[in-house]
Amino acid sequence: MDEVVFLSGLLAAGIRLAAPIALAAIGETLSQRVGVINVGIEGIMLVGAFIAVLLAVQSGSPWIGLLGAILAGIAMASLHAYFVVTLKTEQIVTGIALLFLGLGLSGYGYRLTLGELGAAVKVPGFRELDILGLADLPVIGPILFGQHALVYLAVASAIAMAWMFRATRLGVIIKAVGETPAAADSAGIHVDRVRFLCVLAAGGFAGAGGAFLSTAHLWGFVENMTAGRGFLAIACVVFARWNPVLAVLVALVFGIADAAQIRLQSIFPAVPYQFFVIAPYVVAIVSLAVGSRSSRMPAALGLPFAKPR
Amino acid sequence: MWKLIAGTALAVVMAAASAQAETKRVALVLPGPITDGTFNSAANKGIEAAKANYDIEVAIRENTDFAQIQEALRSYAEEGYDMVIGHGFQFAEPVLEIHAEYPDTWFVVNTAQVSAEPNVASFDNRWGDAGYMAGAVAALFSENGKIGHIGAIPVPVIEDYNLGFERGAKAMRPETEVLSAYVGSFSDIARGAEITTSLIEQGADVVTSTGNENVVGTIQSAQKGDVLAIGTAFDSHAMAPETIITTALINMDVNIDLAVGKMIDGTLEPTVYVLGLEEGGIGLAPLRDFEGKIPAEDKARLDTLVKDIRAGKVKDLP
Repeated sequence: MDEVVFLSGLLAAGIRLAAPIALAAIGETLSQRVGVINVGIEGIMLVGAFIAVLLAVQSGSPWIGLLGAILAGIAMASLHAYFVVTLKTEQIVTGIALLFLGLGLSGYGYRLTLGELGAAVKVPGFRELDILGLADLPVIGPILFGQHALVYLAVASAIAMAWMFRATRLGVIIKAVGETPAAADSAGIHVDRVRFLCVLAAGGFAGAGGAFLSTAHLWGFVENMTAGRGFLAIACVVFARWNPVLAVLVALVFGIADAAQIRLQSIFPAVPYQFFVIAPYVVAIVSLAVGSRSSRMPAALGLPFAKPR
Repeated sequence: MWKLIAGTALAVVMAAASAQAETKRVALVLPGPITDGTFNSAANKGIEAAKANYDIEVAIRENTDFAQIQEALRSYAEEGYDMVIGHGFQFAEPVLEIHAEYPDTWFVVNTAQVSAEPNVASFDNRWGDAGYMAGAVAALFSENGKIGHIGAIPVPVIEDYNLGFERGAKAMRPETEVLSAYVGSFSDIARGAEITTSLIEQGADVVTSTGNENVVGTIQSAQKGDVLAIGTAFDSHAMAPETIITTALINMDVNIDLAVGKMIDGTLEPTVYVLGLEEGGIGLAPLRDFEGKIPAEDKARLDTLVKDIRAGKVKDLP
C-alpha cells in the first residue's frame, strides 16, 4: 500500500510540476513551427502569473484571472511579434529583452498592487476537479479524474494542435511558413501575418502556464516564481521534435523527474541534496543532446522573412 | 542690502550643510526582493523602524546577485554612506575584501559571524535556538511522531536551524522522527510546496521551512494537506491562522536597529554580535488558538524550555 501511495503521490506531483511547462511548451511549439523562436516565454509566464493573481483577487474568480493572464500573455507576445516579425530584429536577443521586461513588469506591478499586503493576501485559486466523482479511486483516480481544469485543457489543446498540423489547411499554411516562407509567399500566403498571429497565440499559452503556477499549483505570486520553467519548456519543444503532444509528454517526464528527486532526497539523506536537485536539468540537457541528432527543426526557424521583390 | 541677502543665503547653506552632517546615511543591500514575506521583508521592516527612530537617511538596494555585491558595497561607500548593511552571510567575503579602502564607512553583515578592524561588524541571530524551539513545538503537536523541515539551501544559518529543530524535537519526545529536505532555491515556491507535500505523504504532520519565498510554498502545502506548520523569521500567523501553530521568530529588525543605534551613539565595535532570546534576536510567537490544543503539562514543558534556553541552561543547542 505504501508503494501505491508513493506512486500516486509521485505521479500527481509530476503532473502538477509539468503543467506550467507543458502549457508554455505547447505555445512555443506553435511559435517555432511558424519560424519564430521566443526565448522570453519565462517573462511572459511571470506576467501571466502576476495578472492571474491580481485579477483573481480583485474579481474573486480564478477564471477571470486566467483570462487576464492569457490576454496579458498575448499582449507581451505582441511586443515580441512586432519586433521580430515586423521589424525583423534578432529573435534570441529580442526574446532575452522580453524575459527581463516580464521579470521587471511582474515584480514591479505586484509591488504597486498587492505587494504592500505581503504574502497574507488570500488568492481565490483553482481547486482540483473531481470528474464524475472518480477522483478517490486508488492511484488512477487522482491522476485521471482529479487534476486541475487547466491540465485537461492543456492536453486537449496539444491534441487539437497536433491534429491541426496533420489534417487541416491552417496546419499546412503554418508549416509552409515555418519551412519555406518564400514558397508560402508565392502561394499567396501572408507570411508575416501568419507568424504574427501564431506568436500571439503562443503568448496566450505561456500566460496560461504562468496562471497555473500562481492560481492552481500555488495561490500567490512571488517575484521570479517561474524559476527557469520557461527555459525547460523550450527544451521540451526541441526534444519533442516540434510535436505538441510529444512536448506535453516530455514536460511530464521533466515533472516526474523533479517529483522523483524531491522524494529520493528524503529517502537517501546521506547523499548530498544537490545530486537530486540537478536531476530534471540533467534530463533536459541529455534530451537536448539526443534531440539535436534527429532534428526536424523548422527550416526557417529564427530567420526573418523578407518578401522577394 | 546685497550683503544681507548674501549673508542670509550663506547662513541657510551652512545650516543645511550642518544638518546634512548630522543625518547619518545608511544603505541596506538585500539579496532578494522586499516582498518575499520573510528574510528580506524582515530587513526592510527593520530599516523602516530605524528610519522612524533615528535621524537617518536610507537607501535600499534589492535583488543583489552575489556577483554584484562588491560593486554595490563600493558604490555606497564611495558615495560617503556612514553605514552599509549587507543582509546575508554571502556579504561577508566581499565586505572583508574591500572594507579597508573605506575607513569612514561602517560595514555591517547580517546573519554572519565576521568582523575586522576598524569598520566591520556582524550581527547574527541564534538560528539554532530558534530551530530548537520550533522542533520542541513540532514534537509536542505531532500526532504521528513525524515532523519535517524544508530548507531552501543548506547555508550555515539554515543548517543550524535544521540541527536545532531535530534536537529540540528529540528533547521533548525522543522517539520523534525528523525528516529533512532542501529545495535548492530560495525563490522556487512551487518546488518548495511539492517537497513539503512529499514529506506530508511520508507521514509528517507538522512542518517548518527556512529560506525566502519557498517558505510560502511550505505553508500553502500544509494548508492543503491539512497538517500544521511552524513559521520562521517573522510572525506569519495571518497567512494561515488555522495552520500556523506559532513562528520561530528571527528578529532581524533588532539586528538592524542595534547596528544603527550603536553607530549613532558611537558604541559600535568591530566585533560579532550574536543575538539570542535574551537580546531579542529570536523569539517564539504566541500560540494563540493553539494554546489549548496540547495538554497543560506539555505547555508547561514548552514554557520551561524557553526559559531554560534564555537562561543558557540547555546544553545541546547547536
